[in-house]
Amino acid sequence: MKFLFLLLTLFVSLYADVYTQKLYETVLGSIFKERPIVVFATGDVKATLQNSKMFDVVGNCKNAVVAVIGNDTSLEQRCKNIPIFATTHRNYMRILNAFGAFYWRKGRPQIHFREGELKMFHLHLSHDLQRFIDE
Amino acid sequence: MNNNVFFKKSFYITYVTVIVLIVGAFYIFKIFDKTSSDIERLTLQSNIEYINNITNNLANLINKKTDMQLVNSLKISKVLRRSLEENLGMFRTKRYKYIYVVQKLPNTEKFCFLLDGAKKDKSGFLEIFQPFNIQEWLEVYKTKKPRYFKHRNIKSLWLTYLKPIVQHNKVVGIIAIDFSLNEYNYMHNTLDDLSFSIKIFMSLLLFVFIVVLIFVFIDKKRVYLLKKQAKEIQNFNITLQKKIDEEVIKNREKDKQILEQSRLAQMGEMIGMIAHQWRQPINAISAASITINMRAQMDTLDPKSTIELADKIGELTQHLSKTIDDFRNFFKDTKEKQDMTYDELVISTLDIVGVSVQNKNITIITDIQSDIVFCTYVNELKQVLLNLIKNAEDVLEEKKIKNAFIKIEAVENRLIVRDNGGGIPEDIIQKIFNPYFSTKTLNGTGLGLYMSKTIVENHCGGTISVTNDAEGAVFCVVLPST
Ligand SMILES: Nc1ncnc2c1ncn2[C@@H]1O[C@H](COP(=O)(O)OP(=O)(O)OP(=O)(O)O)[C@@H](O)[C@H]1O
Ligand SMILES: [Mg+2]
Repeated sequence: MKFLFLLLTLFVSLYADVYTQKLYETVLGSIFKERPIVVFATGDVKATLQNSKMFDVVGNCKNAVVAVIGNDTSLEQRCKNIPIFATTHRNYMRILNAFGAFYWRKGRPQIHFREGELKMFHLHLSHDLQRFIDE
Repeated sequence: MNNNVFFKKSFYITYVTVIVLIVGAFYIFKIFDKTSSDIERLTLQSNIEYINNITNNLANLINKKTDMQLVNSLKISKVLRRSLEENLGMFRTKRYKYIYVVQKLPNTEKFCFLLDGAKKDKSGFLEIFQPFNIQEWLEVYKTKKPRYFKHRNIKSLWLTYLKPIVQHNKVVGIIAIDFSLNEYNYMHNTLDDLSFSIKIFMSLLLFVFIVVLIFVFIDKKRVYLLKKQAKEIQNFNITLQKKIDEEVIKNREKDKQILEQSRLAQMGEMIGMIAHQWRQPINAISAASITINMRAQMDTLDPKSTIELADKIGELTQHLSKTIDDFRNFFKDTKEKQDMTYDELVISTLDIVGVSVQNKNITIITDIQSDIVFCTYVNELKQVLLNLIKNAEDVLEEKKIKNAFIKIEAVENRLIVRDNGGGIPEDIIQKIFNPYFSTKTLNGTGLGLYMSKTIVENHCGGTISVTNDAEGAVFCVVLPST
């Protein structure tokens, strides 16, 4: 019984990671058309993206088409010229060229996009994602 | 039979037990099912009641502390926000993980946070919030009534309770509590597992029942077959016994016939022997009668020699009559046992057979070293000895052995008859006591030794055996010395 429970927990936690990864793939994959998407990532997001075949994770912003910034705040300065995707609400608010964010709130996944930044970087959202644009 | 009764009893006991168990198991299962759903319902209910109370109090508190419209009051006073959030946080436990207040943004279906009871991972004031099951949340705005719904986020099962904050008959916010149903879930799973186990147990019982039934069926068949077989065997035994009895009777008659046959054959030989015995005295009588006749014609018959001759004739006729008596005695069927020594046996037998043997140039040697007195069937034993002597005589005569002899010895309770006829071939020595076994093509019946064996072993309780020595066959009769 205990074992079963453990297995369930393990499965769910594994599933959570897979969920996050899938989400990045759908969101970023629908915005950026090139494959693989060269992405600059920091923090725990790095590992998640590295697991996916869709992304090519690089160490700096120069060659990247998009930056996914985790808890880190010091790096956004170097990545002024590329669109930034935030993974916390705090960063989404602070980083001015962040065009969108994905984070968890009260156990619920939260997806946000900013119209101005999307336009600035000439990014187009698919129809499904448009309802996540903030007013 | 006893076994069968026991078996039947135990069968019924098993049968009834299994049925009772199955019915019991079904009953337990039904009760269990009802109880488990009751437990689930009641646990949920009590939790909801509790949350209902909390949220009522919280809603009252918020209403009391905000005299203007909720959002505006909060916008103005950070202090108020903090104190209310502290109040919310007081109810936060492991189970009531998230307690927060949200407001619907006007003209959209989006919400924003107003208050958050969390310490870590705290949402910002007016931060946009996208809940699941958005219809449920909108419904609260419409109905102004609390609602709850279960939902499964990726990690676990949750129940979200939504309590509207109503001011001036308008919903100004929702107090939301996310209530972890993991414990409830755990219980639910446990109950599920239990019911699963019961189901397995029941199917196992059913299986056992079926196996028992099959076993019983097979066994019944087996018992039936066994009974049938036993009956057949019994019948067979009865007929077999009948057959055996019949055969035994037949055999006895056959034995009698064989003995009779053999005796007749011996009698035939006896006549030959009598002829031998008589030849010499009859010659002597004839000679005496001729002498008398001659002397009478020549007139030399004096009274003295006449008396002498007449005496001799008398003697001779007496001898003849004695011989006849001997033969008669020989064939007399004495049914009673008589006392006898080997010495007497040998002498009386040789009286009969001796002359005819010696006439064939066969020496008879006797060496009797026994004075044991046996109480046995004397005449029959005489026939045995006669047979042995006759067989020796036959082989000696047939092979024309020079210096032929028959030696009769007796040591204690053993009587041994040996000859120098060269012995019995090894390949037939096993069969010579069988009835009708004979190597003699002309006059052999093959009954002599069979009869001898019957007499010695069955009538007199002794043994008869044969071996070969350097010169010939050695027959050995052993009688029980009483
Ligand atoms: N002393 C002996 N030496 C060699 N062979 C013997 C001797 N005694 C018996 N046999 C063998 O055993 C056989 C069986 O003997 P048995 O007395 O039973 O029958 P038989 O002598 O052949 O016939 P019957 O006795 O009726 O004349 C004989 O045919 C003979 O071959
Ligand atoms: Mg014989």
